[in-house]
Amino acid sequence: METFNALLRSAFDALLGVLAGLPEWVALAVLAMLVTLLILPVIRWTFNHSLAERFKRGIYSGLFEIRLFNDRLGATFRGLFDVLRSTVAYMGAWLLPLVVMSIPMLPIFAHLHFHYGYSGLEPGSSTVLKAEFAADREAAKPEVSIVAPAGLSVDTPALWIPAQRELSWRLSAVEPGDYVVEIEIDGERYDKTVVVSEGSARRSPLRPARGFLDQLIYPAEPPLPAASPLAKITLDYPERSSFLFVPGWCWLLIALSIPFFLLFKGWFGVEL
Amino acid sequence: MAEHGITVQALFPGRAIARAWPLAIALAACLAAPAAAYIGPGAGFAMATSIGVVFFTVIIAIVAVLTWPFRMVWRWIRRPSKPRARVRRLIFLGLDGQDPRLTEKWMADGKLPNFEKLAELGCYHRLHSTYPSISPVAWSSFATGVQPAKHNIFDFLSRDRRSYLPLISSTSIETVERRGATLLKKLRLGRYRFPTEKAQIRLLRKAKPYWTILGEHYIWSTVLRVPITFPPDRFYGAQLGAMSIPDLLGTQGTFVLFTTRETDAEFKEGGTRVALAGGEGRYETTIQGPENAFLEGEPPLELPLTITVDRQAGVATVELDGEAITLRPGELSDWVSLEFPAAPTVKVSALARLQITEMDEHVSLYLTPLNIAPENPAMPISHPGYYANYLAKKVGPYATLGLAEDTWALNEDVTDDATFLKQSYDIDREREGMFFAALDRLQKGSLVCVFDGTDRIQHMFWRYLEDGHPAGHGKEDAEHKNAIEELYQHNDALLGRTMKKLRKGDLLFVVSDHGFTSFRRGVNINAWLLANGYLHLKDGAEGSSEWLTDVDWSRTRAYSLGLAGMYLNLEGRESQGIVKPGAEAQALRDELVAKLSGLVDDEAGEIGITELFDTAKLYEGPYLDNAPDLLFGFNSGYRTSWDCATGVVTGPVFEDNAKAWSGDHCVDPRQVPGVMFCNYPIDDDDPALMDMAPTALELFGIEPPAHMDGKPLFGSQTEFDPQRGSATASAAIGATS
Repeated sequence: METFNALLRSAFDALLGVLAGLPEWVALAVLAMLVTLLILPVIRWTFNHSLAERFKRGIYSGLFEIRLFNDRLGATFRGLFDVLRSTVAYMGAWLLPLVVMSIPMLPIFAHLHFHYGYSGLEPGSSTVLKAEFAADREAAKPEVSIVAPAGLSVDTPALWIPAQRELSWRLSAVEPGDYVVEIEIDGERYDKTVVVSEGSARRSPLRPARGFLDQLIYPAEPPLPAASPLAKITLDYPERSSFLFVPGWCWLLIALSIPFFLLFKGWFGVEL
Repeated sequence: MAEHGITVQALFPGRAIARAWPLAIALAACLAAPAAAYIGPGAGFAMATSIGVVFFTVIIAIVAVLTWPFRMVWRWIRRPSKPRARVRRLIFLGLDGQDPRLTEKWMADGKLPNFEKLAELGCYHRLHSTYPSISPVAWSSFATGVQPAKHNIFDFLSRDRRSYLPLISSTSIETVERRGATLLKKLRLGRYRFPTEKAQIRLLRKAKPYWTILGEHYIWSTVLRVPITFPPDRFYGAQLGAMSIPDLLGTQGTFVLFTTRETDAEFKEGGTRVALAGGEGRYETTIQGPENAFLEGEPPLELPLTITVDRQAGVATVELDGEAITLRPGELSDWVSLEFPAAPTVKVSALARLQITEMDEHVSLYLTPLNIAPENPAMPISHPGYYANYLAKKVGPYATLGLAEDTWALNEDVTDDATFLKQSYDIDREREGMFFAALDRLQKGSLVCVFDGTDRIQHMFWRYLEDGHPAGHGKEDAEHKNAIEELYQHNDALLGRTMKKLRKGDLLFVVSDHGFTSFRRGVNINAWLLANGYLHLKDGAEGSSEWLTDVDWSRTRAYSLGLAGMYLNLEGRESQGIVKPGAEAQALRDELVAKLSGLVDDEAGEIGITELFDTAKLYEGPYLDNAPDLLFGFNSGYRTSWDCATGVVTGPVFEDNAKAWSGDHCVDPRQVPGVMFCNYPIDDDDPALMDMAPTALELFGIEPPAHMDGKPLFGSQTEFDPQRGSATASAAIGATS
């Protein structure tokens, strides 16, 4: 997983580096097109078109029945029930493509989220850096120190919260740049990246432990070493706007990918 | 992201995650906020659409429920009377052409158990057909309860009184051009022109059908494929049209044979031949569609078609409209959807089926007539307009052409018996799907559905039913020599499935519009008229041209066109009429009746025409003037010859019919009554097809109009046992859906 994430990080850094100079919506349009081209073959081979066609016909016939027998309440409700049943069945037909698509989509979206989901720290702004210890660690405060580069300043000494086995510091951004903060615990050093910039860049709000799922969801940085006493290191980047718990960049990508989907679906023999 | 999305550790503590990773991936995919929202553009679009559909549907349902009381009150106010229905559902199962003699014979042999059971439970009678006993006339009388002179349908064909050319008797299609196109009626945009008016299509059948009268009392009817319903009636109910619905070319069914065989011969009936050019196993051609009204000069619409033959694999691939269809020789494809691009955003849709009929030395591809696509019909084929589409969503694509079974292709030896049977049974299956869908949705009211397969298969397979038929060569070894018996058993199974679906308060009629008999000998009345001095040819003409174009009308007193009868060349009616109306016309009628009734076929030693009927004495009604003046009452085994029907004058008066179309019913109607079964005994021992309409009205408590010639088959005091419907369902034998 570590190697996989390292490859993806390089690939996304290269791709998004090319798009970095473009307005964000244009970059997302290009990404939407690429994602669409990746997904269409998946749909082609996993979506049961004939079954979906049957359910779609059920939806239409239900709608026609509501119109045709509109003076019979029983028939209206029966038509309504048919539409709902067929709609649920139709959505069910998307389950398999959805599950299959989620395999490539989850890492892709995780990577994109760390590029587009957070605002950068601005010079003069502050944030909190936390280092959380693993559950099997004793609750006593460890021996720690922190080393920040010149573009950052550490505003507070380490605060130990025994109940959460967590150390935290307040950091301030002094000038733009990509930095690495070093936390020394019992003689071992652990890094955490900090990005101070407004532009598009890979921002990692969390450096995870080595668990598979942690690495899958937080691929923006390499995981902590296996022998580390830490469970994770987090840094609060301001999150960008979201709607219905979904980040704004994601809505934009959805909207932009639909025209590409409609444009390319014929090439791949995909019918909705 | 843990703080903003999910807390993974909270969900999967410890190292269990590693062991349960497949499940974890699936769950993570569903739970991670961005990925869950963005499930791919296709799925996302589908989900968004689905949510929209649900929202839209719920809104419609709410509106329907909220407005329902007001609509009911409005209806109650407008209803002319409050009839007291004696049945809950009235169902007519129409089996076009089911013959009583064959039915009785196979019932006696125990081969039709459901017919037998229904007769035992209710009744069975032979049913009087109409004069003439042909489907457009008979089903029109079924629908309206009147004789032909009141509903104006007398034959498949009528004639233009000015030009003597044939016209479809039931429908008038008037294009914008024919009405006089003006600049205002057609907008021009570049190379395209856009008509601002539609062609006017009118149904020429007069008199109200019973479903319209029921509808006036807000009694619902569903009418499926009853002949002469194009364009459809507008009434309280739903209707899918049938006979006389044209194909996309506007004809009554034109198949195409694409072939590498070189010949100048043309098909006589309903087909065209297109030469296939190319070679090396690949042939490119085009399918011609209707004229493109959007372009100047109206060139035909075209779709490219490519045939690639793989002789080693024994298959051919037909590429058509973006679809590749692989077929083995003799295999009939499913319906293929064709879309002819007419103008930007305008496509004309059709359905057709394909068959590679040969791919050895020569390659031939058969294309069925281009059926109007029900999901996007180019003409009004249903009421309401979306009903055809609704049925397509309900049962899948289906044939819409009036005479959908391609009898012409079999007649011309383009297809074979097996192909024709498959086509016919496939169409019957489509029809059954519609019928049961409609039956399932009918709570109260009437339903009629006509199955045509019975008629078509008997037309084409009668040659195997009797010895000595001129078309019956190879009868003993024919694979489908029992096609008609199997057809009747197929109908019996259909009846069983229908009976099984009956409920309390249901009344079921099974009716056929006429019976069937042999068509061994053709009679060319025009040749007889020519030989006997009633018809004359133009100087130097041979009389072999179609549609009477060789006839010298200035000397002709009588002529025949179509199947049913003949016309006098009447002064003041026909444009070049010479027979004076009144005494002279009546004398000519009497003279022809006297000479042709009992006309003997010397070669066969049989009577060819049992009686010639004078319609002035037979009919009564406002449209009598449109009727043929004399109707043929052919003896069993005789019918108007193929040449005579198409207006060819020369040739023998009597000739053998060696075509696959070997059975018919265009004979003396007394020889081909239909059948009538009902799950309740009727109060009349001598029923007629035209009794069905007044019976339907009476059963729903509506007094039949005085102009109706038919009579109700149940007395006004007859009490119906509501349990009879359920009892009929229990009596069905071997009925599986």
